[in-house]
Amino acid sequence: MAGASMNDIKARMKSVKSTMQITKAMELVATSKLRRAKERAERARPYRELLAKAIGDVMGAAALSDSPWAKTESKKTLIIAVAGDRGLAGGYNANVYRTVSALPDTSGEYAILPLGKKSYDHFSHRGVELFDLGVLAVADIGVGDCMSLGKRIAELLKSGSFGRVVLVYTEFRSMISQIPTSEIIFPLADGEPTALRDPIVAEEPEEFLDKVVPDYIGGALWCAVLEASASESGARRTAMNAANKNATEMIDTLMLKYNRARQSVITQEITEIVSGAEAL
Amino acid sequence: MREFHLKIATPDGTEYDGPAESLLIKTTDGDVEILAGHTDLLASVATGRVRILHAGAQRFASASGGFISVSKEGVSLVTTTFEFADEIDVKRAEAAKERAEELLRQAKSDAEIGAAQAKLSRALNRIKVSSL
Repeated sequence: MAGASMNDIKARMKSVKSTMQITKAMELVATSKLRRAKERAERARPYRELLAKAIGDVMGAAALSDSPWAKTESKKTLIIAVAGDRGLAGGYNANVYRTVSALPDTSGEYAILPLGKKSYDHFSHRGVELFDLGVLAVADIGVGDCMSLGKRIAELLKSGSFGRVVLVYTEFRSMISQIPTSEIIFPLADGEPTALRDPIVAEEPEEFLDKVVPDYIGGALWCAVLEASASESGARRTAMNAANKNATEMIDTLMLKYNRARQSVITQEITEIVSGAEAL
Repeated sequence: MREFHLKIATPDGTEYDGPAESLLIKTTDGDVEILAGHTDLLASVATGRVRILHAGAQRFASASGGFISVSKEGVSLVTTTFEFADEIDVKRAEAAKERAEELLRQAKSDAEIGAAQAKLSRALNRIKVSSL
């Protein structure tokens, strides 16, 4: 009986060890990806800030009251949900889904544009309206794709198919902290008074916005993708690190159990031999 | 010459953040040169070359997309691509040009032709600027 349980423990240890090999490899991969993704996300941040500031300047300055860009008749919201391409990243993907369903826009009319394979899988099975572009893997999206997507979304906004655009992604704060955030990128914020005084706008305000809005949406989208991919690697690294710790702990406990079992088998054998000798 | 503060940001990082005497840039409405004390201005950036003057030296660069805003606080150029002439990878630009030409040959719809032409003009612009 003791022998059987020893074999069980051994088999269990072997399985935990091989799982640990995988999680260890995944941690290493995530760490190296994270470094690159973090740099890229951080390099893009000044661009994002300046972009938001400049679009504020634009909205504060241009005479836009009659422009189709300022009037939002459509109540429909486009929610862009940026999640990951793969699982095994702790709560990374689930947090994005939760943020999406907590949006006040989900009580009205809306469509979801999922970015990331996991995001697509999730939302295509929820019975919600999809802005379906097929599966878009976050890892394959380039700046050019974001710009052409920005253009497409801008056209839909102008034609009145959508009145709002909300971007949901995970902001990369640090190696251990990634926070799911939602950001309204349209209607454009116009609250803050700007540094510009009666600027010359080279073209008709509307023509100018026709050029600027797609670039703005595309730029915001690209920055979100960069933040999200850094966050995904960060979340995966943390999750895999925890998995490794747990596996080590499990192996330790199993080792102890195994040794105890082995010892009790030996003790039993000795007792049997001794009592057998006495009986003779 | 009087200086103003110029900040150039792209998704790949901040390319310039410091004083400049002049910024010559191609907007969708034509070339604009900005000197210190320029009237407030908003313009969208066309694919073209950029010239920055500072401390008697001039630097050329290629830019495309985005927009420029000029105010008392300084000049912000938020652009999709920005490369200084000496940083342009000519081989890559030549390859991009060939790809764009191929796309243009195969393009069927107006949207495809437009996209291919935009790609081609960006590649040509980079090749041109790299020799400045």
